[in-house]
Amino acid sequence: MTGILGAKEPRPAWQEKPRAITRGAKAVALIVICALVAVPFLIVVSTSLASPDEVTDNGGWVLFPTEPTLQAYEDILSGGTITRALAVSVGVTVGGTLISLFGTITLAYALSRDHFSLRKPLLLMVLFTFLFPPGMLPGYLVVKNLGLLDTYWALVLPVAINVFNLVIMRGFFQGLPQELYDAARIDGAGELTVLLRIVLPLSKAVVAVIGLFYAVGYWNSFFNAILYLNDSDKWPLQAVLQTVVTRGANLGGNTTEALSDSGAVAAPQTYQMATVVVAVVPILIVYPFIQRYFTKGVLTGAIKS
Amino acid sequence: MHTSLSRRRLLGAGAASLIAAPALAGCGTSQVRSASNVGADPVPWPEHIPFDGPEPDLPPDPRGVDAGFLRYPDRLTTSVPEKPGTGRETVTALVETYEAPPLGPGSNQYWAALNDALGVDLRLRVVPSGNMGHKIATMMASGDMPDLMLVRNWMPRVADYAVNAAQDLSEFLAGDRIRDYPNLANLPTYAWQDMGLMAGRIQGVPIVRPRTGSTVLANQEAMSEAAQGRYNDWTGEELVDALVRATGDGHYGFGSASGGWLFGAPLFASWFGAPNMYRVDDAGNFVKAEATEEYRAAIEFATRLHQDEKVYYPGAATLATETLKSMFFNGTVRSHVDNLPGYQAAVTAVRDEFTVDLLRAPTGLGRGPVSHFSGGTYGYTLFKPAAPDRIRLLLRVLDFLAAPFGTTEYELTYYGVEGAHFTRGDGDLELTELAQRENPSVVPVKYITAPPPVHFFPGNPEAARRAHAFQVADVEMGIPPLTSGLVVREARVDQNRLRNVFFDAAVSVIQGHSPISRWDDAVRRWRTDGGDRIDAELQREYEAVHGS
Repeated sequence: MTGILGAKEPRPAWQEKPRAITRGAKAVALIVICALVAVPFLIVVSTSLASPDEVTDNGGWVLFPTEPTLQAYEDILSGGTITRALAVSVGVTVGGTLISLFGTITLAYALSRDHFSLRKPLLLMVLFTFLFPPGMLPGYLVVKNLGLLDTYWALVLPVAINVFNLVIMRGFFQGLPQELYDAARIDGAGELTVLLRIVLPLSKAVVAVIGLFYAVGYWNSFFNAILYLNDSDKWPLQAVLQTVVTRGANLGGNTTEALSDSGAVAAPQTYQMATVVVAVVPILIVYPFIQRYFTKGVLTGAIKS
Repeated sequence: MHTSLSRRRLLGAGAASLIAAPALAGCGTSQVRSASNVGADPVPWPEHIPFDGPEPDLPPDPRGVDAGFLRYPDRLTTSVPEKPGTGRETVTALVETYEAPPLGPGSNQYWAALNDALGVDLRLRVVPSGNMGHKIATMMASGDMPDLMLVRNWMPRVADYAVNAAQDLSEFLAGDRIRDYPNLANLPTYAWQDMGLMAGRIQGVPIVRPRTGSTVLANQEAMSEAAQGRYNDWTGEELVDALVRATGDGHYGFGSASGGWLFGAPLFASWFGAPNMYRVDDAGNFVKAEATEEYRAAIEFATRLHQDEKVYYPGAATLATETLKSMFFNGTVRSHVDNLPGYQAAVTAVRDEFTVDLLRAPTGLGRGPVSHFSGGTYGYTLFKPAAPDRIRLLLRVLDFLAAPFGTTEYELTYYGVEGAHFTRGDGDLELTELAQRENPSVVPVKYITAPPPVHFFPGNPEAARRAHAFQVADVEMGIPPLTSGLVVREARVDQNRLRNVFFDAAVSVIQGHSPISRWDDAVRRWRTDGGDRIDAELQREYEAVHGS
């Protein structure tokens, strides 16, 4: 018998037939969990499609807009700020991911080879940064003294190699059969040939997953841009999104410290939500293409034989 | 081969780094001057020379009433006859923003026109308000200071930074020397005093804002009906009755957003006559507002409104500001605690749906109402140390940006270019669609300095009358924060930490999770955890600035 979920798996002989109430409870739980994820996103999309007056009348958000309109999207995309920031985000994400993958693959490969004499001190150095990450100020001083302020390099180089991703990839490389390396060497292959012709073709899954991790990281990053880029023309989309969404965040109170000017602007919820959609959709589109590598890539890297 | 790191080696490396850390931290230590005014020889405050411009329809009061204009002046005055720069200079400025970042001057008519009028290439380093603390910290640590830098009083050790890293402006601004910059001389003295002297010197230029503090914005028609003839002339009980009557059928009499609004309790404290931040008692000691009976009564008042009368819009502990404003705009919430900038936004947003009004404080509570003024500044701008000619150029730029309402410079700075950002007709201005994207909030020059605020609502003179009338009544009972302009060093850090003690207690009591004794415990904890030390430091500084 097949249902919408496909053929039923055979029930072990020792397992009792599930009661109707149990099945019902599971179904309800699954629906609730799905709703917890889906409804907020639906609200974001719906609010972005509603008119500002309808949003105000409904108290700040809309579930089903009565007269859907793309006005908010037209406005934010015609202003120039969002489109420019979107281009910056795409550029930083694509360029940064390629740089990160290059650095991670080459370093992970070097650290996975037992005969590499500097392997231990290098590994120690890498893990040290993992255990004791630099603070905001030392990071800023390094970027400044390297002359990277106000350049896109400041968004990429300080975070180019993530140690967690490096360790996963190194584990994956170490899990490949030693016989493959030996055979390649007997055939006269050098390290670069082994990496390019043997290791990488066998590591598509982990490269895809780590690449996605990096891409999502670059796409979502906003703080480095605000810290390192004085010219807001160079800000990526998430930095712009942060200012759009948090405008109106008022400390309140009656002290000088709390006096905020946010009251001087209206509350364009539709613009905020449209910006959120523009920021979320591109990276969301990437997921389905990478999903099939997910389990295989990460588990193979994590469990070393 | 064994590939993992030995645990002993790893722990050894970690221990070595911990030992080295303090030594490394010490590398940057150098002799620093204290910004405290204790023992300093103070320079005179800049003279206040009122600007002789268009006569306002509603007169100002230097104590805290802003001028009101019912229609746009027919004839504008020019207050800066020559361009501040020659067109070749570049000026960098770090400013805060609540808006999306602006397009650069190449694609921004407003910014380009402003650059042209200033005669400089103004390069803004725009920082979202939520990240301002981080950005300033990196500026301070790296010595990477722009020509002009906005700082705010809540930033830890900011006065020490100003004294040690920024230009001393005393020789340019103290006393009558400010006459070279007539628009800066027009800034109210309370704004200079709220910025304060640092080590007895003038270290910046204030960014002026209205002196009016927290207040209640109301749906006038709904609250008038609920007040049954006692609207804005009510006792505390009559106000409570009105709020109760305004609640029901999907409406709520009162609202408060999360955060420092704290269910409106700080505002209620002023209705009970509590001091503004501090009071000096008969023995000359500093008494913190939260430690007074009046403040305690305000917490109980808020608890009653929340627990017994149930007049609050639900979720005040976590309610987003924008959600509350939407509820006010659509008529669900009949009144809510806000401030004067909030009034300006509400008048624009509500249009003709109802009349937005500012509620007067009720009488008959505690010692009777007072009004807790804000310091009257948003923050102040520091100058990067430079040669005197360069500093004079920067001051001329600020003088332009401080040009008051009724001048051509104000028109450009606040309304943009005629034809592009506004049109003029029948004695009023009408803003264009482009003005939504190109204005002094989006290109945030109003966070460099700002002129004295005015009440002017294009096409809505009654809104200006209401705000002005509110201030006229309010100023009679206004008291500035006693800590205004005082330099605090250690205290500021502790204050921020200990503020949470009161905040947590108030939220817990007002929501009915704890009895009022929790508030009393918070007051005791404040004293024992460092509050007494903070009070003593403030008192020393107060005596140095104001005399004992």
